[in-house]
Amino acid sequence: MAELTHTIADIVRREKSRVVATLVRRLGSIDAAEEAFQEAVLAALPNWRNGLPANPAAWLTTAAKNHARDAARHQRIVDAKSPLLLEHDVAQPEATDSISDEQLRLIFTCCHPALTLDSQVALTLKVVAGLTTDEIARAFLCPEKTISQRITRAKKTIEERQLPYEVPERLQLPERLASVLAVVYLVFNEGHTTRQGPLMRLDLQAEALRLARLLCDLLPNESEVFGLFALIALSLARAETRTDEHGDLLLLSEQDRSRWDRAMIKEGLLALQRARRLGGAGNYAIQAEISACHATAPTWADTEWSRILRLYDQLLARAPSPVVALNRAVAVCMHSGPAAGLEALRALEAALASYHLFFALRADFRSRLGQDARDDYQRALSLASNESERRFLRGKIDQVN
Amino acid sequence: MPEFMVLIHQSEAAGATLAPREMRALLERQSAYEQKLRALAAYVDGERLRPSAEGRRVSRGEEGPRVEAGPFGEPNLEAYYVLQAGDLDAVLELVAECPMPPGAQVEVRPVMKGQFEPGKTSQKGRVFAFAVLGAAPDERSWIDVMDRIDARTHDHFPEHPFRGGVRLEAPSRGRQISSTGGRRAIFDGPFLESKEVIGGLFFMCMASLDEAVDWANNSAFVEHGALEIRELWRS
Repeated sequence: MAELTHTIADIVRREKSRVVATLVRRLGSIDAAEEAFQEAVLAALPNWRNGLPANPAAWLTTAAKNHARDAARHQRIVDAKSPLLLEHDVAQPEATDSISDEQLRLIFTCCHPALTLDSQVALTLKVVAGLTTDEIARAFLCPEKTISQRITRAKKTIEERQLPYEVPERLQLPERLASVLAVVYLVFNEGHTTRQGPLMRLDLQAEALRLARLLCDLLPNESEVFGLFALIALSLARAETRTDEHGDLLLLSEQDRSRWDRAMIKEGLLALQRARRLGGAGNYAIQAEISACHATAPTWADTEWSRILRLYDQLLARAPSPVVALNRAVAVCMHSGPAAGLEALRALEAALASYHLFFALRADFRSRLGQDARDDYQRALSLASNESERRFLRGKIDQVN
Repeated sequence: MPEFMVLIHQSEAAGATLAPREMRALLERQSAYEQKLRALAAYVDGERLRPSAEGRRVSRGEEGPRVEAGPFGEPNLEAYYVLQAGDLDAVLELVAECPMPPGAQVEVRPVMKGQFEPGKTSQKGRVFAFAVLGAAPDERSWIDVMDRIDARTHDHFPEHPFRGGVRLEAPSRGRQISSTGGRRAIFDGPFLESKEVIGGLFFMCMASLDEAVDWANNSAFVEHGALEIRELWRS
């Protein structure tokens, strides 16, 4: 029984977004769709005890629709509330609409720029990725109440502002897609380096990968979608080796490259090829190119630093950012030596005066040149908040003393 | 003009031992080769398949349908191209330049009938390739098996998710190219009794692998042969 419950939980999680997406349009709101889905899951437990249906998603959709119809009869869902999500054509969903169209609409609604970024992230993880509020709260290390409030507020905004449930028109697509990709990137980044707690949370990164893969299925001709997928896959392939057995940070130069996930690297490289074929010069695609250089280099020293430098220049030309310039300084140091690296850092101090990595990097360049790096390491330590990074910096301070 | 399918079978185990830099170089050579093919007027279609470990094989066991998860033994179908050409030799000339990693085999088979819908992965949704497999002691009886499957199934595809498909001529009408130690050898398409031989390939857009397996379970393909289901790679 425990095993069956587990299997059902797996199916529910896997199928939730597809079923909810199908239901939202029919029932008019995310709330109604989620409620109907929950009822269907409750109905599934006793029903599936004697064997799983051939197509669990279809079973759940039908059960949810039946529930919603009964509920509507009792004026609980449809009649009592005004529709949350307005459609241009309310009558009947077109016959050609597939599940993937419904899913895409749902994603664009959850990542609507009228919602705050935090809300977009929480709503997307809940409704599209199928996580529970409790799981989201644990992933973001905040109280469950905060997350559920965020989600409630987001749904209210959708209702009040009457956000349309639709895929944006061609003209608006690039801008709206950027906002969807930003949400997925944020989920990934939150998993990559967290401000507190363990250095990485792989489950959030895996969710980001899953979301990015779903977007690849739904928007197969958008270069940046594949760029983002490649970026996530190529970073995730190396995630296991970012920390040592004590959970402490390991620099890229110190990592055991034989433990990188080759299948994942291949997946990332193939997605990157598609991004290139589709045009390929967006922010995510360029970052993925940089990540690909690292993921395929046999050693830190034997990395295509000149290529990485060119890619950073491209990135900066598109969108100047001091953090990107900081990363570029590493490539400058590897390509032309630590003196050139220090030179590249000089212009960044004002913009990055409260960023611990700036001082950690300058300390590193200085100690390579035989200069005193203690002050910089101390500054970095006073600014760092991740415990693993703090331990790393303390170790460095001990070394230079 | 006749069409030929170029089936690229690759050793996934050998691929897994490639260093990432070698892998990248190989992928880039393959991509360049593919770009070159795509630019030819003779190019009809081509796709890459996701790893066999993610695939399923559906056949009829003694007690009803049997579903096996990959990998299915080496080498595995990794990609295919379809080219129009006057004859087999013209295709073999183009195939000579195809980058072949260690353990790879390339099979060229004339297309008997059916058609392709290019750009399958440029549309929304997940697309799965279904390889029709048949086992028989000799080629004559294998052709009988394929004829039987063909007769039972040739208009049994649900319209919406169907994305084209073809039946291939028997192996003896094609060629096989193997590479060992950097040298290549071309054989007349041998019929190997020990192996299930591909008789055709078709494509369906499905929401999930489970749905594809369900469909296969209830199809007539598995009464006489087997179906190997593999998702197409968007690359």
